[in-house]
Amino acid sequence: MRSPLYLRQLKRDLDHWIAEGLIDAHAAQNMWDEAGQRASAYSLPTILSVLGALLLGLAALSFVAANFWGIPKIFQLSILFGAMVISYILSWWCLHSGRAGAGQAAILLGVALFGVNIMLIAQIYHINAHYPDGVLAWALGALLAAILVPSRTALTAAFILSCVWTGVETLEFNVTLHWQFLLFWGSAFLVAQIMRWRLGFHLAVLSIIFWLTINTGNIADHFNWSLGEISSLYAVLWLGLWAKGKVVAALGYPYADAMEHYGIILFFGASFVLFFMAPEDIGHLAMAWRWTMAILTALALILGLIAWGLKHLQRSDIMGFVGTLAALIAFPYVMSQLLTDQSAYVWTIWIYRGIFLTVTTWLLSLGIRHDDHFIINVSFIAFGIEILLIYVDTFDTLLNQSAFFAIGGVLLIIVSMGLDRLRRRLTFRNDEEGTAL
Amino acid sequence: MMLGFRIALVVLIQSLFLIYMIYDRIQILEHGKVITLKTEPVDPRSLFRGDYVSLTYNISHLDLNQLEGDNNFEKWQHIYVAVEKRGEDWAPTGVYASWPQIIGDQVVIEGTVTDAFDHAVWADYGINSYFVPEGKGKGIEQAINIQADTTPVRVQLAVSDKGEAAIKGLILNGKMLYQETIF
Repeated sequence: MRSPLYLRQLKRDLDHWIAEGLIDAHAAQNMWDEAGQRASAYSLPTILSVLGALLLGLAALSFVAANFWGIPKIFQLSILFGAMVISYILSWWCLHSGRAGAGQAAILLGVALFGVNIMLIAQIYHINAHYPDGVLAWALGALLAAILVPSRTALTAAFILSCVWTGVETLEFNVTLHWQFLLFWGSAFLVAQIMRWRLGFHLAVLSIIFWLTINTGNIADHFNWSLGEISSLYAVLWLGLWAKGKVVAALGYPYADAMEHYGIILFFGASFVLFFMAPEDIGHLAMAWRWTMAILTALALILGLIAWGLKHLQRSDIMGFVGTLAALIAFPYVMSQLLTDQSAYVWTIWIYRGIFLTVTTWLLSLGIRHDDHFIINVSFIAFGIEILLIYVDTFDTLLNQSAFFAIGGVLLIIVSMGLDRLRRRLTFRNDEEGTAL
Repeated sequence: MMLGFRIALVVLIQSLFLIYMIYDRIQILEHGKVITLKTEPVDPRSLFRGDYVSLTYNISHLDLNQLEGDNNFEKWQHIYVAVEKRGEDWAPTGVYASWPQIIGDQVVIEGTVTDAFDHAVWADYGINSYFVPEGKGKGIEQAINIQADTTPVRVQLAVSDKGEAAIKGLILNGKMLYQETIF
């Protein structure tokens, strides 16, 4: 249902429009019925219910933190155990009677109280075991509720708790490579897919990005890769994700656009890191890296070609895609040869800065052609950051300030002329098609 | 499957897990072998757990040159420490990477290596924290610290057949300061 506040304002407007003679009573009634029946994924009552559930969960957490001894253990346990059961009964009643928002909030409260109970039992019995195991148990309880009810709020909790679990294991307990997270993540991702839930897809992607980010060093250590080696793999991986987004878009996958966007923004991130790396950070190019890079590149290439075959990429896009992949593969090889040649290193970096700007321009044109504002904006931001970095880097070294602005100005004019030419060509083609029709 | 049944299943599975946690502890506290260890407390504060006293024992830091058993341990490895009664308290006699053969009245406690180098091992047995009422942690710690040189502080533990340890009580100057109840 629409927000009550929205409906109240609509009622006022409809009365006003009828009084003004803009619409008749019949049309107003139709509009009112339409608004009243239209479901909203994030209605105000739902949001308020979820926030209320979170506050109640925090209240229970404080109850545990207080650790008061005035009440016997059995009563402490009964209060929180009973509250958890009542929350789930309440969720059943709400969902059964059509109050979906409140029902989901009650499920979330039940999940929160399950976690609080784990902590309370650990506290009153002085259990000081490996505490991330408790967080894992909590996350599993949330995932269980997400699957059985099914519940989106519980799935959200499961993703967040799994990140806390892997974060603590990795950052506090220094687990070398917390691969167990991938089992949990795979299950939760599958549930999000079955639910066909966009936010669930985002949570899944953000969770795996979080895991990869905190485990980058561990993955590098595990395979004996340098930071440069792993950054180049990430850049190819994310470009492959973008190509996969293009393929699944053709197959009607509902979150293909989000997949493309994550691929592009992460590709830019990995490229920024990679192209500003010194030769000694690239390393020795281990055989395992060569094989991994070959496999990832082949997969990305296949996906790009499939997307081309499915008419979701143009020939110019394939050229840009293949060129970017080639540049990404070549970079570690070139850099690994330049450990002692400082002059060649500087020139290589300049060439790659040029390549980065060219890739950004290609993605910008792709975003414009597909009317994809996200890719347009991200490409503009990447272009701007790259230019700013070049400016900061060259201010006192290779170029003076006026030369920088002069070259930048000429480049921008050339780009604008190219874009104008493209616009005129497209306009002319549209006019021709319009005339033909 | 009906909605009510599915939600009931969630409640049942989550409740069984919580009941198992309690049952496991009760088993140790009721049926475990009771030993006492000397302790030295410090006091941090946890976001999740309110006030608690943090405790270290004579088995927290082990000198492998002085003890029987294995010599090479890695971080996060499981460790089995054999203790035996010496006077009023229990003290470590051997450190092992796997469950050792128990001699006489020995008790084995299972732990996890938190650090290891140069024939020295630091281990955690899940008995490092003793929760106290809000705001009382500092007071208890100060009372203990003031008398630490002259007054022995002990923790009474229950140890299961599998080596799991649970705190039963805190003993200060020969008197039971806090005694754990089952419920």
